[in-house]
Amino acid sequence: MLGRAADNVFWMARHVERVESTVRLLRATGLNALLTSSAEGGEGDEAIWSRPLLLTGRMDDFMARYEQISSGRVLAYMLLDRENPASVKSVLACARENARATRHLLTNEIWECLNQTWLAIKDLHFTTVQRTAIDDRLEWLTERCFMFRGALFGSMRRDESLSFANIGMYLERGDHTARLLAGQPERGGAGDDAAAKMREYYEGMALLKALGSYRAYRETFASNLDFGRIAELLILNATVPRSLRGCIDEVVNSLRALNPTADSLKTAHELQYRLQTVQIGLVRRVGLRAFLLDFCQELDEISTQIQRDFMMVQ
Amino acid sequence: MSETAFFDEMHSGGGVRAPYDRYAAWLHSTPVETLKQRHDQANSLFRTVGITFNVYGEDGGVERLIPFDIVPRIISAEEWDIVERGVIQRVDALNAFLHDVYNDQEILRSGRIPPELVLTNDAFRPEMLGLRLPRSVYAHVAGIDIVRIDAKTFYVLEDNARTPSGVSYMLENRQAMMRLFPDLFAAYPVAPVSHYPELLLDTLRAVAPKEVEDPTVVLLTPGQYNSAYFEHAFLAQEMGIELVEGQDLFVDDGDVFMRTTRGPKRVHVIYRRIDDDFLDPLTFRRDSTLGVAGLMAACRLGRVTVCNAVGGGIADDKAIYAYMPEIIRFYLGQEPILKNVPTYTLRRKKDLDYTLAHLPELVVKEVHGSGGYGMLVGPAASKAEIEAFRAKIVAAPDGFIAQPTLALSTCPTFVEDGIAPRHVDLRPFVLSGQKTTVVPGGLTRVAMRQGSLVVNSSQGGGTKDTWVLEKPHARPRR
Repeated sequence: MLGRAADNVFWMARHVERVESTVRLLRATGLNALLTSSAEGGEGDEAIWSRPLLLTGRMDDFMARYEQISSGRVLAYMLLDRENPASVKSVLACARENARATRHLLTNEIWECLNQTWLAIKDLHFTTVQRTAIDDRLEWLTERCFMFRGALFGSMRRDESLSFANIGMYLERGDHTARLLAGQPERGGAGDDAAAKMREYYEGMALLKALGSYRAYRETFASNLDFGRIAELLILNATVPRSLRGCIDEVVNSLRALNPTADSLKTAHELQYRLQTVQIGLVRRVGLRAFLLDFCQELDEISTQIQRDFMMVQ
Repeated sequence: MSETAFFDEMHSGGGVRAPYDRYAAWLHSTPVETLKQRHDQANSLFRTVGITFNVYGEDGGVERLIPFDIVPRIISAEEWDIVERGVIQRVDALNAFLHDVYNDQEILRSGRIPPELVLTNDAFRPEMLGLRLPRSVYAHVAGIDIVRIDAKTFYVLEDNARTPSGVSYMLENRQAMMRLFPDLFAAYPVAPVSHYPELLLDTLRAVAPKEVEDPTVVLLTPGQYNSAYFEHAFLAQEMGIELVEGQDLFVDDGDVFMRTTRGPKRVHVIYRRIDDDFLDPLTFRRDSTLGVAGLMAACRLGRVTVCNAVGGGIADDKAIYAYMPEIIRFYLGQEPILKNVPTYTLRRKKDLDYTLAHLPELVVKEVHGSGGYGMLVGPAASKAEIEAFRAKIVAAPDGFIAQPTLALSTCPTFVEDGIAPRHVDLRPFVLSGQKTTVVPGGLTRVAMRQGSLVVNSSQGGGTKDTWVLEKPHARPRR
């Protein structure tokens, strides 16, 4: 296939995945605010709603235009503000642009799913959306992302296009999980403080739900929510679809199908090997945040190498 | 002129015309609400599929729908027979003409066409002189615009031999109609059109450079912001070929390659939807970023076939149009099956005088204009508009032709307040490769405004599905 088309398919899938991540992040933030802000010694609404802005690196731009952090303003900015390149609407527009540029390679099911999602949201403005309906909208968007993946896997030929879509999707997903984990506040051990324990519990739950891994935790550990275990699950457990290990496994498989001698595959292999062999105790000693940010850098490197390996043909 | 002065495709001669008999009964028994519902359904169908054309503007352009009308235009087998033979004859003559003017120029030497009309024409490309193209075909895809004025008379209004568009509407309109009105298709023997992409691919493969056994065909598009991008993507998908932009191709040592994930891959046939001017910055416009540097050289070496061939514009030039009957006689030794609209060439003093004296009755067109821009429809124009246009003509008469206002046929059309007659034309798509073929049907364009004679989509025109009825028992139904 054309290098440019591969690039378009890669970014189409990557952007759809980013839409879902953003939506999940906003839903989890809402849940977190609901559960903990009123609790004694909680962070308060402002701190909780600042997190989506910090995670997406949009804090400065947001403050310049919206001045004050509140749930409504952050939602308006992160959902439907076209001037924010990280908003759901902007990212969805990018996904559709990339799909449109290469729609002759996509099945009608994929194109129509994406196009319909875009048509339903493109003229929507935050002022016209009822506050009570926001949760429904977010849920609907999540469903559309699932439908997109269903269309992708259910209708595409098992060929290069699908491999590039897969790689885009899992690189984005791994990056998001790592950043979300890295963005968690330091845990100093709640000790016997009942209120702090309660807070940790709710925050842990919101984190797991944001990554669709709440049930996975329950099924894997017969214990209370504990941040150490949550990190272990989301970093090392290969059976969890949003874990770092799960994502890098998929990237390796798709790259191997494309070209077993590519440079990008070598880098991905090394990263996979590291996750296969490392113990969670060692990760903690290195420092969880340092480990995660290093992981994100490796993903960036793989992404750059993929560009060189497949998309820039001389 | 009142509406009754026009030939109506459904109601003429004091009753319902034969091809429409069952359809008219169905239409008259269907409540307007149902039609309205189907009309809305059609719109949302087209939006979902993304059959839109781009209008440039803020926010990277707006995607608009071309109005689609749910009432089909129906053509009997006998009528189609005339149209089909007529357009094939015409395109064969066009190709012979192009081959001649770029090689031996017999028609110019014979004095049938003034040589300066061809040789000094902007559409004439000296780069093409002396080239022998595969099968001597230049216009591989041609769209012939036809209008009808009575039961028997069809006129060719315009030939499109450069990069005619609209065929995706022919195909998608049929898809939509079959989905919206399955019962009608069960009752009517409508000839299928869905095999057009296969025929197109056959045509393109048939003109590959000689030595190539299994040619790689690509479709070259200006990109997703071009107004016809949907059609480019649609055709590439239907043919299963790559949709490339100029940046995806390069020329090395006279061969054309595309940049794939597995390295460069040789390309043999390019179905280009980019105008001549932008095709190769080394030969034509130097500021073009849409084209491929060196493409013309590869073409001249015979390593790649560009479809339609460069320079085909000389055949559909409005000044050449007036000579089409002569061109058909000269190359084919036949009388034209389809009529040419009488045309006044204003570079001639006599024609100019007549035109200036009869402006309110005539249609005046710019020789190099297209898309319904830069034209005067005399009967519909105000006094001031006519006078303004008169000044333009007097300033540069060479740039214009004039034709009598044709009484374009009307076809029942769904409008705001129900069903009403609107003027239509027809563009069948003619393919020339190993042989010259045309799928039974085409694009029917309809002027959505009451009384308007301009059907171009850029001027608010819409489209209809075109049903060509099969002869009884002509062949097994699909």
